[in-house]
Amino acid sequence: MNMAPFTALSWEIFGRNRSALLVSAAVAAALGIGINIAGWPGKASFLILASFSLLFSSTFGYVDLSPRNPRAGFPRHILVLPVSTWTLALVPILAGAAFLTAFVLLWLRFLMGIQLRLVEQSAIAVAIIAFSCWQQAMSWELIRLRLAKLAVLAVVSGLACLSLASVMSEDNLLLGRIGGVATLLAMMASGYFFAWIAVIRSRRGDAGEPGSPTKRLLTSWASNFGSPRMPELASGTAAQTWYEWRVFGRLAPVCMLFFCTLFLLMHVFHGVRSTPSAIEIGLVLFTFVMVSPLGGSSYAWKNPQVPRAMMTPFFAALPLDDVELAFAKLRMAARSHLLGVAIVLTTIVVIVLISDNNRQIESLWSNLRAQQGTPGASIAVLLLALFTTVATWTAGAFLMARSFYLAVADWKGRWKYFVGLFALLAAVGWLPLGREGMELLAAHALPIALALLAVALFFASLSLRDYGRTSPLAALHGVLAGFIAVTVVSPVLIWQLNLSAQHHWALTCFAIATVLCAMIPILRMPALIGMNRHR
Amino acid sequence: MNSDTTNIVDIRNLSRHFGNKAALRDVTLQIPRGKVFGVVGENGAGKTTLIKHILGLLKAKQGSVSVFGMDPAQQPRRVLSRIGYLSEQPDYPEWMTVTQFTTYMAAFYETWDRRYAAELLDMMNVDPAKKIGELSKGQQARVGLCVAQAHRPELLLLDEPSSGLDPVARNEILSAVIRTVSNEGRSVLLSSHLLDEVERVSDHLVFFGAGNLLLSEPMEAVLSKHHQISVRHAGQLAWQKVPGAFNAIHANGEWQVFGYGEMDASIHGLRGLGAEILEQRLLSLNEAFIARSQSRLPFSEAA
Amino acid sequence: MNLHLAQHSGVPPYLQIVTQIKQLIAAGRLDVDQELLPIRALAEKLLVNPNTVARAYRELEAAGWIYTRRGAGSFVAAGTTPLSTEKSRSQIRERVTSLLAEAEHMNVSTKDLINLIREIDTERTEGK
Repeated sequence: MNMAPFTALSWEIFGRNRSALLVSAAVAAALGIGINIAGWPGKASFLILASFSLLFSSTFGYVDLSPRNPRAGFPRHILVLPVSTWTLALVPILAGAAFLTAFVLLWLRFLMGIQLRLVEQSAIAVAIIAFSCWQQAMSWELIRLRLAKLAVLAVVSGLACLSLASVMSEDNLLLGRIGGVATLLAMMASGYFFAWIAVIRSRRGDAGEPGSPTKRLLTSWASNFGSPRMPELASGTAAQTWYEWRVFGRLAPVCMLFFCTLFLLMHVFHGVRSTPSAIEIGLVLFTFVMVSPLGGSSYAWKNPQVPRAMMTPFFAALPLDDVELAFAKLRMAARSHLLGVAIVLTTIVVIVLISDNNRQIESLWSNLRAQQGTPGASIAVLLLALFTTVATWTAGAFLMARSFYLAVADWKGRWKYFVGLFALLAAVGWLPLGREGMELLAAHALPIALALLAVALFFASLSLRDYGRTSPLAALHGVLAGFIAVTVVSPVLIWQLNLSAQHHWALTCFAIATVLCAMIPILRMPALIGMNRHR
Repeated sequence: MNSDTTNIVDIRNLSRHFGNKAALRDVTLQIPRGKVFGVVGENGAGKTTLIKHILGLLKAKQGSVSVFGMDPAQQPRRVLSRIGYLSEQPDYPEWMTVTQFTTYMAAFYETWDRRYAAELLDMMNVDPAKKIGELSKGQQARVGLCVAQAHRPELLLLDEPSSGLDPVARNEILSAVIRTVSNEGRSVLLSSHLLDEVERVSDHLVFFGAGNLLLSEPMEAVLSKHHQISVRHAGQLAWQKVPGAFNAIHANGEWQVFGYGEMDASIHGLRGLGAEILEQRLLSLNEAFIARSQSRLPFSEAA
Repeated sequence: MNLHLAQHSGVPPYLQIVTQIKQLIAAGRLDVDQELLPIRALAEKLLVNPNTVARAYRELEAAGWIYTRRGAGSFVAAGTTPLSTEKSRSQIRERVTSLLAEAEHMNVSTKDLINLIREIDTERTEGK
């Protein structure tokens, strides 16, 4: 068998993001080592392992991402090479799986100290390969609808975890050892089969074409939901708001609807109903806080792996002023956000109503009433709700401004931005804790230093040549920026500190000041859009 | 409609660099009303950069750009609402149907004529219920052309519109050009590689080479001044001394000398060098372009 | 008016239009006082710049083949004026000059050329 195509393809796949991959792995390692030294529980380490694994698996999605084509598929130039289809399908899968398996196994062994038998290690490898097969099949346009893709991947991951748990468990639980292995192998085979079909269809040029009956069925079913009648578009700004809403605005509310429905559905299980509703509400809010920047942050492409918000000539040449374009985007973001808030509020109310355990909520409420009297407490809660809404929307808009800024900033500009962001995080994160904060710092100097090193490495890597291309760093950066943005403006954090440290006015003012500062990028939005549009 | 005699586009001393590469060097160009300007040049010669400056997609860093008397980067809405633009690689939203797209675009232009738009779409045979992503490249170009004309723009800007299109679509584009310029006070800027088409419809030719504006002349002049003279001359021929000559090919004692300017002057010059005139003829735009591109003489000497 | 433009004939478009209109008139396919297509319509039909059509119409008018009435359009003129005969003669003269040069270049003597002309003329009259 001729190994040359294998090596050539593998070289290309790894070469795409070589430096970014290495740096990301280094960042992950630094974080992992830091956590170990700090003595934090294994769950934190596992969380980091899981997130980075997801990141890497998405990097190895071997697709052509070009700003001009929001629809990504198997790289076209590879399709015409004289390589057999099964090789073309196999190599990216193996490459990604190999890297991931190595990463996971090494992490488990050296950073979490878990010794695994060969059988279990192989099971993990097979599970990863199975997942990669399915993931590649999805990313190679076997199914066009993104929701369907996500659903399939969710099911596949669930099955993989289930099978893995069955294999690793001592007591032949769940599917049983043999059942687990069988499921994994079946998943691997079927996943590879679909990936192979996806490549064939790409080769024949009809990947994602509206020809197959399945596709027609799915699209007609989907269009039943979204067959939108066009509203009256009175002006260019209205038209552009409509456009932004259709392309970006529906994402966040749909995500929230999905998650909230999930939360509510879990109440079917009796056990859930008796857990404190405060925890559930906390989870809902946390999800919202993580998801809402997605809606507000208007990545220019549906594919969030492409980090740069580029303005295509079509939109740049629309007869709209920069202010009007900015306004349209922000208006859409606001609309999208408010819809998300409505969903969240409804969910919270329903949870409180149907939960059997509202003790913590009740005690919080009585505490508040004791402090401020009933009218004062009600006002406080209302203010909190208002503040959360505004702050999370600001975080989203901040991310939008960021994506436009980074698209035009040279490396000096990027450094300025990151240093500023970092300083803001440091100021808001540590200063309110005052002396306690300093003591905390001193106690965990080494892990914090490592964490800082990881972050510094991360920032340094953003000057890399291939930052502009799809890169795990870019995705990581998005997540980090979102997290920072939300932390910076999250009044929940401040309010909690308020209640416990009892420095009401100072911290309230500080929170307001932070939100106002975060509005600077929003006010700068027309200028940022102008910079993108008129280079 | 505004019918004063100032130029629609006024570009003065425009230069632009991308990194080390000079995309435009000291370009000065005016486009008056009611003319078709054909812009030709090799890939990378600066045509698209020029068009982007007119649209305000690039700011004029050196020199000035004025469209309808305004800076397009400063007042995008007022300038762009009077321009119809068809880009080289149209990137229309693929999820919209044709009807949705035309309704969406209609909202931006005050002068949008719904009936005219419907007429154009009908002429171009496009199914309005289809999504843009499902259309072929030629059909997408037709939709784009319809949208570019439906608001009756004062300036129609076509950037390599015919690349990769079938002959029917190409004909539609030429029709659009003629229709636009037939109306009083409207102009067209057509950048294309298809020199036959440029030759047919243009009033004025602009020739770019490596960022320089090599030639800016009425089409008639370009066609009547580019000539080729075949002569017989043994040994080396110092054709560079002939006024207007910019290129020459030599085979078997016969020379073909390409020149720009008065044919009689070239003939006289060649006779003076002792060459025997065999044949003389005017060049088509295609032949002139190729002869110029192959010329190793810098333009300033050949002028 | 059924005109067409040949792409790579080496003849400028306006001249092709002029020649073809003349031929149409001479062949009787365009009657006297019949209106020609307006400049804009002909330009759109032939996919050529309106100025080209305008130039062709100007030349035809100068040569007396057509006349223009302001606001009404262009129409085929009746008969030929002495001016047009002179113009026609000078055009034919040019043609003959280049024909003779070509014949010389190809080593065909003037005598052979005249015989050839007579031969072809006979064929044409017999064919009619």
